[in-house]
Amino acid sequence: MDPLTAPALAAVLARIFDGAVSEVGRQTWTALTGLVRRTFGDRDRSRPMRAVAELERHPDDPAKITELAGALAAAADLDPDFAADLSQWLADAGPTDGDVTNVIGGSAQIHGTVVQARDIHGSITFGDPNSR
Amino acid sequence: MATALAQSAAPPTADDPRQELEEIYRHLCERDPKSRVEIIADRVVVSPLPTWSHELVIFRLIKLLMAVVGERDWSLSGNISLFLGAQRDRYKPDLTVAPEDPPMWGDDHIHGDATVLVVEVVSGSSAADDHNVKPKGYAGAGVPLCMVIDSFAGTVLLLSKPNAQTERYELRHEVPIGKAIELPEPWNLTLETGKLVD
Repeated sequence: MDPLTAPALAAVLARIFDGAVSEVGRQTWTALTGLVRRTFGDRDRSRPMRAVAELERHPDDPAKITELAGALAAAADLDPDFAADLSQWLADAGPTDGDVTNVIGGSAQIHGTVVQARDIHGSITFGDPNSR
Repeated sequence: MATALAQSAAPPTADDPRQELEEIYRHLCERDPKSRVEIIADRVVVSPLPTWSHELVIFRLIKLLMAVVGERDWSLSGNISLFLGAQRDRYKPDLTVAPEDPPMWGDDHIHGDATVLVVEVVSGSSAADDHNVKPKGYAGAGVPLCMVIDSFAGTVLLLSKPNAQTERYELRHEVPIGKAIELPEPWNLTLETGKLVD
C-alpha cells in the first residue's frame, strides 16, 4: 500500500485530473469527496472541503492538487479514523501508474543507498556480491 | 409530476447514501440518455416530457440569443448536464450556453462555472425547484448567469454575480414578461422578453 503522504496523494489526484476525466477517475473522485464530506461536513468551511471545492473549480491547476494533498495528509495526521479510511481509498485507487517518488525530508538521514524501483524481477544486491 | 425515486430503484452497492444516489443517477442516465434525469436537493428526479408551450418559450429565447451566440462562437444545448461538484446536485438546464470547448466532467457534464448562461423555464411541476433550489445550487458552483422564465407568474428573473460561499447570487433582477432585460458581460444584450410569449 502507498504510504499516506502528500506526494502519494498528489500522484493519485493528478492522475484523476490528467486530461479528460475518465469514468474510473470520476468514481475515485466521488469516493474521496464522499469520505471528506462525511468526515468534515457538508459545507466548505474546513480546509479539506475548501481544497476539494477549489480543485473542482480549477482541475487544471497543479497548485490546487498540492493544496488538497497537503490538507488530506495533515487531517490524516490528526485523525486516525480518517487516516484509515484515506489509506483504504488510496489502496482502492490502485498503484500510481509506475510513477515512483522518493521523498526524503525533515530530519531523515540517509546512510547508505536509496533504491527507487517499481517492478523488481530478481534480486537487488548492494555492494559487490562476490565479497559476501 | 416529476418523479422522485426511492433509493431502492437500483441495488445499493455502497454504504455512502450519496454514492448510492450517484449510482441510481448514472443508471437512469445510461438507460435513457434523452430523459431529463437530475439530482435536485439530494433526490433523483426524472421530469415528465415537456409541453409544447414550454418548448416554444425555449425556442423563442434561442432566436433572441442566436446572433450573439454565433458572433462569439458559443454553443447551446437543451440536453447537457452540468457538473457542480461531486457531492453537489446535478442539473440539466432547459438551455445551456457555453463555449464550444468547455472543461468537462467525463464526456457528458460541462463544468457549471464554464457556462455563459443557464436557463430554467418553469413548468407546472418544477416551480419550487426552479425558483428556490436550483439557483442556490448554481450559485454554489459559480455558474455566472442564471435566468428563470416563469410564464405562469409572468416574470423573467436574471441572477448574476454568484457567491459560492453564501450559495446566493448577489445581483437579482426581475421584470414582468413584456419588459426588456439587460444581459450583462459577456453578452451585452438587451432581451425583449415580450417576444418569449405570444
